[in-house]
Amino acid sequence: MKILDVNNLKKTYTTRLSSNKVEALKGVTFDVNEGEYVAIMGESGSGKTTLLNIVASLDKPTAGSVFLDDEDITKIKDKELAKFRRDNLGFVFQEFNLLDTFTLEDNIFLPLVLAGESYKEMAPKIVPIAKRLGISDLLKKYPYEVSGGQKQRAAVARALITNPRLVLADEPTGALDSKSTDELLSLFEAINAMGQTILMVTHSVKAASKAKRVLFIKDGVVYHQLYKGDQTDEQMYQSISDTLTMLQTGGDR
Amino acid sequence: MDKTRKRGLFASLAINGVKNNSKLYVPYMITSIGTIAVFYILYALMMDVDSSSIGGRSYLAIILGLGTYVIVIFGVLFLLYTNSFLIGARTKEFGLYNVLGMSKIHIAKIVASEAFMTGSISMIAGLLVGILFEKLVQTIMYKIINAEQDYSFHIYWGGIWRTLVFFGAIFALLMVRSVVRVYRLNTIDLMKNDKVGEKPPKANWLIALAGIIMLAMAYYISVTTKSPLSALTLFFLAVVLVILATYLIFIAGSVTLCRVLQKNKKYYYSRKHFVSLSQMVYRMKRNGAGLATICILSTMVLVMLSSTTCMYFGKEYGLNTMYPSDVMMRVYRDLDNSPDISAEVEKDLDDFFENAAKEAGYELENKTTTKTVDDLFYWVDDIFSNDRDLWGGELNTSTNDKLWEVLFVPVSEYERLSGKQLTLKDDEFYIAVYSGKKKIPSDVMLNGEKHYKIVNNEDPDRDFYRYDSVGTDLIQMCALICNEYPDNLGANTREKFTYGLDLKDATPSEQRRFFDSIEEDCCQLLRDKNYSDDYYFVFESREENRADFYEMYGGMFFLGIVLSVMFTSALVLIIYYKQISEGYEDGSRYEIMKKVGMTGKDIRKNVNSQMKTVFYMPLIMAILHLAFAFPIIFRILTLFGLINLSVQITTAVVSAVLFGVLYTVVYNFTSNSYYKLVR
Repeated sequence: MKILDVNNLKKTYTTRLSSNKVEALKGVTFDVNEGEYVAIMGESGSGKTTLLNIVASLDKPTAGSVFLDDEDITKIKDKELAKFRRDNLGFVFQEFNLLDTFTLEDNIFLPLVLAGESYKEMAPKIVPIAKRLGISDLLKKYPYEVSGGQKQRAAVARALITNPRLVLADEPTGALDSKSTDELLSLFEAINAMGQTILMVTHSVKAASKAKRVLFIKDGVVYHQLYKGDQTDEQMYQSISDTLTMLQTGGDR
Repeated sequence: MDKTRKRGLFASLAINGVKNNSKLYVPYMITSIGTIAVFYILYALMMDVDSSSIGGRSYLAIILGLGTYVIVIFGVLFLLYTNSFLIGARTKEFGLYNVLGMSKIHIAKIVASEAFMTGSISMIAGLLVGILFEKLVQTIMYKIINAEQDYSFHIYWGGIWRTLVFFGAIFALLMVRSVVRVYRLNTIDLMKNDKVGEKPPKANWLIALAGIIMLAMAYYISVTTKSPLSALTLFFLAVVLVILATYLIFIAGSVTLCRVLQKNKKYYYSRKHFVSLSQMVYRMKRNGAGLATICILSTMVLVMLSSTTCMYFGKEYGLNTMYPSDVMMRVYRDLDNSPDISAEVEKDLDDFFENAAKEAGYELENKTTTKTVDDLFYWVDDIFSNDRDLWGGELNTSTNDKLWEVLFVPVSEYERLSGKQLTLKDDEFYIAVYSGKKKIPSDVMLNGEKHYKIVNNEDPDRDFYRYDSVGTDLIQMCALICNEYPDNLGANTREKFTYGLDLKDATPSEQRRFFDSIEEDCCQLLRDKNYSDDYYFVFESREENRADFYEMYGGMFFLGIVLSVMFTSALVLIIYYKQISEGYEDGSRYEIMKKVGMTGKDIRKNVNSQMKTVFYMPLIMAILHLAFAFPIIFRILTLFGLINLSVQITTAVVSAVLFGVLYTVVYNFTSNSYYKLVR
């Protein structure tokens, strides 16, 4: 079943000082099924962050539509956007984006509090998630007291606690060492295995190789895509590397 | 050649540094220019008053001189504060220079030339503004003290070189400090400065409690101190306590309160409180001291403004209490050795004033005379003595609730003044209490020798003739009506005879002219009568003293306004800097919250409530301080004879409201620059 349907998405930026127009997205079309784990790859400037921002409803496209389930998120009114994000999307960022004034626990509670849940309702929800992410002992600590990997796991917990339709991850391993990267990626696989749909933007071939499908974006369009199918991680890694090489050397499709 | 180019580079880097940070530097320079201008103006006014020949305005010169010292002290503290903020805000830039290969010596040179530039511009501009506005301020001051102004324009070189010396020294100090700070910079720390997490502030019950106790003590002192003399000494204790308490409460108390609220899960985990409470803890920890400073400055402005205004508008009251008649002649005689000449003197004065008034075309009215012996008495239970060896002869906080100013009034005087009939035995006193709350004993032992019964000790007379003294407000005071003055009051007991008159329908200036013209003749007349040297004559007119009152209280009022303006601008700048630095920090936080699903409206609401709490807390606290300072200020003002409750209440309320409005305007104005940073 389709959960996300991105249709002919365009985004044009006009720089403030000159009248030059920059086309970040020139017509991106793809869809994501429920329970899928999709990675989006591309060089810097390929438009992948713009794409993610639009899917995250943080930015508006110049043209095209993005349907999450049956709702076109590009048409949602500004006033309702925050609520929409809260209810349907979970975010994991490269820089973790934990608030330093909160303990990890309070950071994880933040979306629930913003949604207006009472403490009684939210308190039980954190227990299984924290346990699964291995941060049960760290909940009372502040972000500055824990490692990067632990911070990112707390961020994942914050993304998951609302039971979102879709988890959006923007370079989630970008600021992690290799051990933490491995841990996080297996965590993603695990939560995906439990049915969570994940859309991840990444530079890292290793991260992408864990996904079920990889989309390659170049010059504002979806240039190519790879399905993992039955391939092992290593085989997938190789396929992705080959595709990237091909992209970089400028070969045609 | 290379060297000059290099020097040019530092200068241009320095100029650019100031230009690029104009948001920070412009308010700083405006304030330092203002401070310097005010210093020069006060100094010039003082010189002007000193050199003017109109009356002896020494009070005014002293008050203005005091003002210049306050400005210098204020200048040191305030410029140190703002300068450290400026350097702090720019450490990152300096770190970058350092990383890019500029040595610390070079950075220090840039910082030094910046300091030199801002300092010299401030001094030159400050002096220009001061010279330009001196006459205007002078006009205002002379309006306030109600005196003739000399309109000629002067430049006071003394003021200029003093400005250059004092403020030059301050700016040199700032320069040295900035350079030292640059040398202490650790580049690596600087670069990762932003990423280092801040330890969450801990609740500190002990310190918070100490703050609350101190504040309670200060308030208690203010509310319970009844005697003006103890009020004066205790006031400073109370001020110190309030300042300390304010710092402790803002620094520790606020964090503790937030922590307690956070413990309440139901309260904490709600949309309204969750984000603001958790940020508030940090905000208070970082800004506690700054907010306490804002609070103290606000309190100073409020107290200064309300009490100087109260003095200024209360001066009529004081004047009328001290000088109930337009003109007064007082005659003192030695009770034992000199015979009573009041009847003759009264007749002489009657004739004299009659003639003088007729000559000048005035009419006289409201003649009053009184005759009393008054002295300070030590009075505990029935021990009643004016023997000064008993209590050390001094008024101080330990004795003053046992001291009474006592007037002995002959029965004949009482009957004449009150219109009542009174029959007393020789060993009886009839008591009239002006002020004081003592339980009156039924008899007293005067100087350990003589017993007197107080006949109406259960029900003392309270509305006996109003005595011409401010003493009633200062010290416990009563009149003892007796058949004869007691004969054991000690040597040198003097009787005072007061003769008072009003001049009908005369304006103050007419009165002044008239009484000035006859003062010498009047004294001469009494001297010519060949009364022996044992008599003292004192001639006083109310208008003559009014000028002194105006000068003194007008001068204080003027200085109060000037200093209030100074302190308020300092306050504005501190609030502005606080808002800006907060904005820089909060911007990134709200970015995250937006991503996690906070609406723009939520953010705005949140920011609003936090900022309001943070910036209105000092104001509310300051108004609370003012309210509790009210009783003790009231006592102190009675020392100056300026008690008038309604005037004091009005001035306090008006100052608080005006200040509150100004504060709100400043808040709204500065919070705009905050929002710009957060958005």
